[in-house]
Amino acid sequence: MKIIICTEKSNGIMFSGRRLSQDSVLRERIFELCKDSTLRMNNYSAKQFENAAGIAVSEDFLNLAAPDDFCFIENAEIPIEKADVVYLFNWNRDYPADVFFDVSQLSPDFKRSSREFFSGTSHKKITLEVYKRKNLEG
Amino acid sequence: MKGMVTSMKKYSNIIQWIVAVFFLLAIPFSGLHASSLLLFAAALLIAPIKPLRELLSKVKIKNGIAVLLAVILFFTGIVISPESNISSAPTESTTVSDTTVLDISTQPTSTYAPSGEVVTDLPGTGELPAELTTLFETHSRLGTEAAPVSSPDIPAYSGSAFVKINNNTPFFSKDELKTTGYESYSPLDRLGRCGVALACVGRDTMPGENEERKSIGSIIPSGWVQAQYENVPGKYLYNRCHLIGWQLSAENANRKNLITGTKYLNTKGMLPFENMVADYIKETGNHVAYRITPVFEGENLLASGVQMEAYSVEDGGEGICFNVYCYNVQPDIKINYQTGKSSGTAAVITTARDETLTTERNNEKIVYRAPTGKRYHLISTCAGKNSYSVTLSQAKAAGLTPCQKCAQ
Repeated sequence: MKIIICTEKSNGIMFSGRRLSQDSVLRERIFELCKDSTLRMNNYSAKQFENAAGIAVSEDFLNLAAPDDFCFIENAEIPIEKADVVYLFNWNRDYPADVFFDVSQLSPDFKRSSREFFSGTSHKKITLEVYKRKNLEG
Repeated sequence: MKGMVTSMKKYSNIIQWIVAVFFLLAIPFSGLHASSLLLFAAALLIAPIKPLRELLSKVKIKNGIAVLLAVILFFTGIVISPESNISSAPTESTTVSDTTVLDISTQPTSTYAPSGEVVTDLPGTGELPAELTTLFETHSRLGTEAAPVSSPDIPAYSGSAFVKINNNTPFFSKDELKTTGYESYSPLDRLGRCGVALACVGRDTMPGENEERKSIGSIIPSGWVQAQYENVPGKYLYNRCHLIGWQLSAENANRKNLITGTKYLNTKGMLPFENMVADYIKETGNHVAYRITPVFEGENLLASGVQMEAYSVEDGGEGICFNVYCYNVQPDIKINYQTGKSSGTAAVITTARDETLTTERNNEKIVYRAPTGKRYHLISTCAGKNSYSVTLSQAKAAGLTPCQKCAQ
């Protein structure tokens, strides 16, 4: 599966069960990434997308995902071992966090294939890094 | 008989004067409010002032009726006073008392002493819709009265810039949640320290798109003894920390909204929470109830930390909900919270230099005073170890005269 995660400067992803930030431009970007595939998420995340059409919403979304499906993960365990591609967005801002994404998990099996920057509606600079599993590169 | 009548009249006048003075004394306790006018009118009605008595008899109001009217006005004034628990003022703010303590593990039982000044109260009722009221009430620990935390209740700093309070649930009352913006700042206390700042922040309180920050350098908050250290990012130990950040309130040099805070408090403690709230508002257009309580121990001039509470109104706390305490510390720097003076192992570039830098700002001369004593000083060391900075006009207004040694 392909997983999508948003982090702040110190790789925090949640604080007290709530997302740290959101941006409408980033949501559009996610739709672009997934235009030919299924985008999956749970009910908590779907609210952010205002339950837009075409999103497969389920609390069990990570188990239901096929290899080419995209999973947008906010308040669920991140199954790095099942991922082939990781889309890592960074807000480039400091937010308080009590749940963090351990970026070091990516270093043994993944390689960064691209990095780009774009502006959001409420964020001057959002970074998107794409990590691909090493055996899938080529 | 005549003597007896004169004597009775004399005593009656004395009693009326006592009651009138009592009514007048109630005014400061009620805070400056519409109720103050009622209390003042009650005092005038009851005071045996000859021209007033003549005026009352001209309009055929007898003494007994005047007394009755005065009593009615007095009690009406007390009831509608913002101090009264009988009414609820949505723009009230709390005041940090030196002795008020909240046990963070239990329900707060503090007194709620509004004395804030409304800076902005934007139009519109902003009342909470019924469905949000229900949502709000489902949060079991919300809706209890607010209380400042006290440093003894907070675990000592141990490497994290903040700790959660009350399981991260804020103490807002329903009246403090509004769907239009407002801001309220407490007056400075006798030591020149800030109190609670309460607001409902939204796009309507935030700076405009092209609005620029203005200088806040003219404000000297309590405990401001600037120093520079090699091991502090940017070298300066202290920042003028907004209680309600500029990006949320567009407040610039408002002395009721600026405290002396370490670089660490500002950037690692408060700013991340402020960013989270600001970005949430920009994206959703919703409002966030927001209260910042600086916590001072005893007569300390430097806050030990700040309590930050926030709750997103329109979505019932789903987007933003926190209650944290941020430490006013700077790793590896020792701080005297009584005065704001500091020391550290890394090279201190200067502390004296700042006193030179801050002797004059915007034509306002800075002097030093001790908590007690009748002199003001140009040199802080002459004022003593508990001295703090004030403007010359503030010192003169407090009746202080120049020190014979350093300020002649």
